[in-house]
Amino acid sequence: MKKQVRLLVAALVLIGLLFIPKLFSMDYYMHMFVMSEIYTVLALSLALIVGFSGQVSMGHAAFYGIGAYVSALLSVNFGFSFWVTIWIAGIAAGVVSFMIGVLVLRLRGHFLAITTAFFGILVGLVFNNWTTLTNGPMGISGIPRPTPFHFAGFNMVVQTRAHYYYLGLAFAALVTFIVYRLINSRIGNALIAIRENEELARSIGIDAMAYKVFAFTVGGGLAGMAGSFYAHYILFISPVTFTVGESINILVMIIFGGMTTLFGPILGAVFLTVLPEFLRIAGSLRLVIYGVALVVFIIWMPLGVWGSLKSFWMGQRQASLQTARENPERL
Amino acid sequence: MLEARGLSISFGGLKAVESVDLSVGKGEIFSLIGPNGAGKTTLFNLLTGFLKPDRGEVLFMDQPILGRQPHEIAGMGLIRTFQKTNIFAEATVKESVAIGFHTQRQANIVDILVNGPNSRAEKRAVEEQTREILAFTGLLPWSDYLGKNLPYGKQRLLAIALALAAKPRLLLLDEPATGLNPVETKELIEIILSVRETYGITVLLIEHNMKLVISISDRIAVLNFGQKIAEGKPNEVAQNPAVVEAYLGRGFRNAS
Ligand SMILES: Nc1ncnc2c1ncn2[C@@H]1O[C@H](COP(=O)(O)OP(=O)(O)OP(=O)(O)O)[C@@H](O)[C@H]1O
Ligand SMILES: [Mg+2]
Repeated sequence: MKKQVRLLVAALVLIGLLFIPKLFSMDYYMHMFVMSEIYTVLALSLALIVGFSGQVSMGHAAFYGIGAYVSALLSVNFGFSFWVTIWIAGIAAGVVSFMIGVLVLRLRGHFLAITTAFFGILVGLVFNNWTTLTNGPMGISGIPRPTPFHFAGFNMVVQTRAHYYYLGLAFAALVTFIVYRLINSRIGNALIAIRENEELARSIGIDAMAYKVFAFTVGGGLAGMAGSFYAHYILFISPVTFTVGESINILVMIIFGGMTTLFGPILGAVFLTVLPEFLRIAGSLRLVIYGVALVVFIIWMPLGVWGSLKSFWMGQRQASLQTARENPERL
Repeated sequence: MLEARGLSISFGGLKAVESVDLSVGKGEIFSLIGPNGAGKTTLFNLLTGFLKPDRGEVLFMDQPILGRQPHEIAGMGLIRTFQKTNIFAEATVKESVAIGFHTQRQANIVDILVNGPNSRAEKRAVEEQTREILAFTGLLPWSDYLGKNLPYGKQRLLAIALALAAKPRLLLLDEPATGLNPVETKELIEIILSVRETYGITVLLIEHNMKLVISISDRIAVLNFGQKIAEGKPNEVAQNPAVVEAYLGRGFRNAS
């Protein structure tokens, strides 16, 4: 019953999202929505690492960047189609993520945060200085759009923002679904156990290191795919997009939305992609508002917007259970 | 079932555990007692891979387990609880116990992503067995509570329920009765006894509550300053002069 209601809500939301390009035809809005989709994937993939497994990563944009560069270079230099390079980008970012994970995931807390930030800086340096490959700060331009796609009689071209919007929607929906299945499986259970209490998790037979590395690899791989999508959407990439600042931006999204839920990162990604555009009116005050809001969230709302709502609802239920226990006659 | 020989570890100059031999037979309830700081918890950490001994060897089900990771040892059926209350604070009781079934779940990644038959069957089985364990430990009415919102006594029980979910062949309990009131202690005794009756699990118990220890143990070993000073049936050990002296000399929490 509850499951059917959920499915129905999900279906309705998806149908509603399909109509967005009809409602907002302005390029400017559509661009915001496509970016929201990319950030949804980035936020969900980071939530898998930080929210569900409890391992703070400040280098997520590095995997986003590795995916973008791999995809761009393969299609610009060798003429590979986006439909091929997005997978290669994901795998490449995943492999790097795996190797970094094995190296750094024995660290905890601040040490892990700082090390992953350093990794992010290092990757940025490579993008900037390995000029023969990456063209340095000038970036890579002339990245081709996704080639027309023939599927079951359909001939899908990706040209307008609306096209990208639909493609991005499919991508974000698929990633949401994957993360949903993962967190509701034995794997998700193991990750949550590690986040909550690693010692206890190990004592009941959970290979903490292996699961942390798994989450890091999958998260990095998905971020790499998001990078590929970004490259073939903007058609130009340069190192400034994939900085530690961007990693923090993604981190803020999941802190804001609530990183231990499925919906929280999505909410954070969409809200914080759209909101700054409206805050532009506030000019340079924007950063101040942003900073203050972040501090407020970390201190008073560590579960994020969606997490807090969820926990409030659970608290209510437990309180009613409590009264039922204390006054059985009232049942 | 469990065979330890010459186990030793020292921290700096302190010999926390010194040449301890231990042999626990299948189906026994074996207790480990000794004054505060005698090395009991350290011995548990050595047996379960949380600490590496300086010397000695450990066989579990006739297999050497020294040098293995805690999760590998747990996977073989040697499950321990902790002296401090150790639970998943932000998970509900039901979720926590479900996590405990980890090593018994095999669904592969493809099956998980498509929610295939294995994955679904597994989830149903876990749900069912979780209920069974919650009923067994009397936690069923608390299923939907977060671990951190449970009263202290129930948190202690949750830690045991979680250990039981992990399918122990040998269950190591570190002072499970600490802080329990007399009613809760009696419940705990019932649970330990039926853990053996119902599930055929062997129990190795650290406990300061002598009444509890004497009433349920088949055999007792006494540690003092890291060394085993006595071993035998409860009444033999209680009359052993070395044991009496160890306790008189060092003071003994909950000695009643
Ligand atoms: N990781 C460690 N590092 C340094 N010293 C330790 C460590 N663990 C235990 N010790 C010391 O080893 C000795 C034995 O400690 P242990 O916790 O095993 O005692 P215990 O018998 O469990 O005592 P209690 O009844 O108080 O729980 C103590 O002196 C303790 O301070
Ligand atoms: Mg102890």
